[in-house]
Amino acid sequence: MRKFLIKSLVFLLLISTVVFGFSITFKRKYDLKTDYLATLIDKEARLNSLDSNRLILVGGSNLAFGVNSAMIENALPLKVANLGLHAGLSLTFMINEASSLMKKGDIVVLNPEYPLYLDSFDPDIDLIQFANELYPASKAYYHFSVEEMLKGRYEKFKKFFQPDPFKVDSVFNREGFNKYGDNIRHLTRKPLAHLIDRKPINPIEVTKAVALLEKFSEKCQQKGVKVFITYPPYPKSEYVGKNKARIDALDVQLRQKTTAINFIDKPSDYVFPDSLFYDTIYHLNKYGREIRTKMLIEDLRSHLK
Amino acid sequence: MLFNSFQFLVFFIVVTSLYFALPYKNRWFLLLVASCYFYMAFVPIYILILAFTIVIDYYAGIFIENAHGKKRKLWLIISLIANIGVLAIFKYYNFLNDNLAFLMHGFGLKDPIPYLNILLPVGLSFHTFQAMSYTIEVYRGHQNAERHFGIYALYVMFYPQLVAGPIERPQNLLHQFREKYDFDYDRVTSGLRLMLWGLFKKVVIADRLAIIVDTVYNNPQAHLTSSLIIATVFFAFQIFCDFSGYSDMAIGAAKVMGFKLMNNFNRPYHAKSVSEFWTRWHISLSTWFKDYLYIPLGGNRVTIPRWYLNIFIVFLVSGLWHGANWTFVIWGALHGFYIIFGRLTESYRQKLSKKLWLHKIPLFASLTTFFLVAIAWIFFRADNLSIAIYIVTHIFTGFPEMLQNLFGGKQIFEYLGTNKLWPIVLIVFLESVNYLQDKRQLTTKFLKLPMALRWSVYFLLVMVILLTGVFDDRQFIYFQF
Repeated sequence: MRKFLIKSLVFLLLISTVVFGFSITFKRKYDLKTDYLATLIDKEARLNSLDSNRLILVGGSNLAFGVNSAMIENALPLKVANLGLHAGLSLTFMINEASSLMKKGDIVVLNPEYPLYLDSFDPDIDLIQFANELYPASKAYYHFSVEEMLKGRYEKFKKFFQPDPFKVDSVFNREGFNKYGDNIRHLTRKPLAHLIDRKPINPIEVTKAVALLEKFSEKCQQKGVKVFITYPPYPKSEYVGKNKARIDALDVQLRQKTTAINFIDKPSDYVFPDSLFYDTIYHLNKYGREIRTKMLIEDLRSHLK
Repeated sequence: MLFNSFQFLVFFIVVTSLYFALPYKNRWFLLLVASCYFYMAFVPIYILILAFTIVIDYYAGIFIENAHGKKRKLWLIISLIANIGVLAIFKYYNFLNDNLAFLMHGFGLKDPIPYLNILLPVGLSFHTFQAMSYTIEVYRGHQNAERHFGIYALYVMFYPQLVAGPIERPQNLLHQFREKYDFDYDRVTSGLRLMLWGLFKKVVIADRLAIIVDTVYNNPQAHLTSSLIIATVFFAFQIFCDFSGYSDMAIGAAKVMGFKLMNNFNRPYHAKSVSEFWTRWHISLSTWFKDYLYIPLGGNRVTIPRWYLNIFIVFLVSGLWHGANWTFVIWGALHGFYIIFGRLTESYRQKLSKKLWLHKIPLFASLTTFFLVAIAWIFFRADNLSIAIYIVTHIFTGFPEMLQNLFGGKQIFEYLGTNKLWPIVLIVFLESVNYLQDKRQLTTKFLKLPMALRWSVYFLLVMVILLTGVFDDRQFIYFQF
């Protein structure tokens, strides 16, 4: 057994040294001026620049691509800060971000993509690491577990050998956002013929998300902040006959378990024809964005009375 | 807890170290606790379902052994009802309900019974079948009833094969929990090698193929005929690498501790007929159905029409075992049809094959078998019947146009989210290793190499796993069954 243990240790040490060694020498290539994720800085700056009547939109890229904040500001007596950027950052990151920036009198609208509620959702650890590199203040929004730290190292090791190609994307670009935090570059682009990122929704287990939402709603109550949940836009082809049962079950479970938060709509309300989407199943195009925003305004209006 | 996760690595190291550190008499307890922990890492509450069937079957086994005459059968029936009942509630209730509701809607009636919002317990069909084989074998007198409750529970819950098999028989596994296994360097390293190879198949081959398969199967209407064909062929290898990878890891993990589990795969895509395929694919399930369903139905010792019916029933049930969905039923029915049709036409095919000299080309039979199996896999993989039918019809109707485009110099391939060449290299590598292992005893030759060379191979394999493996908590396909 001794021979085995020594050999195993030597082998494990060898592998660990190689992985760790390459991971610490990895340097990511990016341009702060144009990187999509760097928009995080502008979004927070926008929110911090507003003094009162603030409407904070919290979620993933469905908000970045699918909301016309100026239209909301014209219709409601509110100033909008759209924090929506990337679903991979996780619900924990988004809620902690909102939690640290909100103040008395704010209205927070939570609008995460469906998978973000599920226990099975895996945050994109490397994306969060990258966000931390671009904007060190964001380190406070997500605390890595030991396993995630190891995973982060491992991701960097992999990136050392297979780095993401450095390119400036015209749509996924910091310069493509307006002052509210809405991405507007895609509005003039031709939508994809077939939507991408189609994935079946996993079985509905929402224990972690419920705990997070309950804690957040308590904090909102303490701070005098109103909080609502609304559902993201979703294409009909992914809903009917595919994910409807699971999404509806998700809605039922969330309503049952997070009683302190108001739901301003149902998932089916925001199911749109595929022709209103831009590229992925959560990104609306120009027309979809207008329709969704009008619906959101009406929903908000009826709940803010 | 998935075999391809970091948690499992830690779990395995801790449990195996404790296993060898503990005295023999306490090892069953460690393994039982570890197995409970392993199972509860999925959905903790579902351990109660396992506990329910374990208690019923444990006592049923003893009562069957002690009883005489009709009472023996009664206890067996109680045990079977308990096991099949659990399967029926958790796996088939909503399926039956959906179909009943569909029929009732046809008559303008409302849903007859409420829908159950429950998750399917991981590996339910596997441990239920393993438990059933115990009471049946006790009833048949092939196995003594186990009096030690902990050891019986461990037979059902032994963590390496708890959630995706191999589905063991009591005669093979139960006595092993009383054996005294010492640390054996060669056995341990052989088990670890098997685990490493299984992990390679899962994360490097299966999960990389899955990227392309999922892209196409999640939205087939958006893809070219060539992509439908590629995704279908890739799925055949994905499911093989996924499931045989799991089996290798299960067998390897058990082997490290001294246990010998049955082999589950034997180069299935080298089979020269669909019947032969079923002697090489998921062997523990095929033999289960043979012993506990096909033979009790009369096997082949009946009239020919009845024999064909028996074959068809077994494959229909096998389809349903895999999933409560019409796609699985059709998948099973297709295999049943292939085998019956194969039997009916055997003499004609043999004559034709001799005439055309095809019997001189064994690869032809393997490729034909692969083609048939791959067509059936479409139903297995598709989320619903309409997607499966779309893919099958478009592969056949789109093929002539694809050839026309090819000869007309038009583009026939498209980008599918990742490089297609790398998966092809991996498939060729996999089949070459399997071939060399079978024909040239690759492992034996490998072990004779100098240590430096062997270590380089291990190091390279680990690096390939780390650099090209997909670690995104993608479950093993067979966990859902």
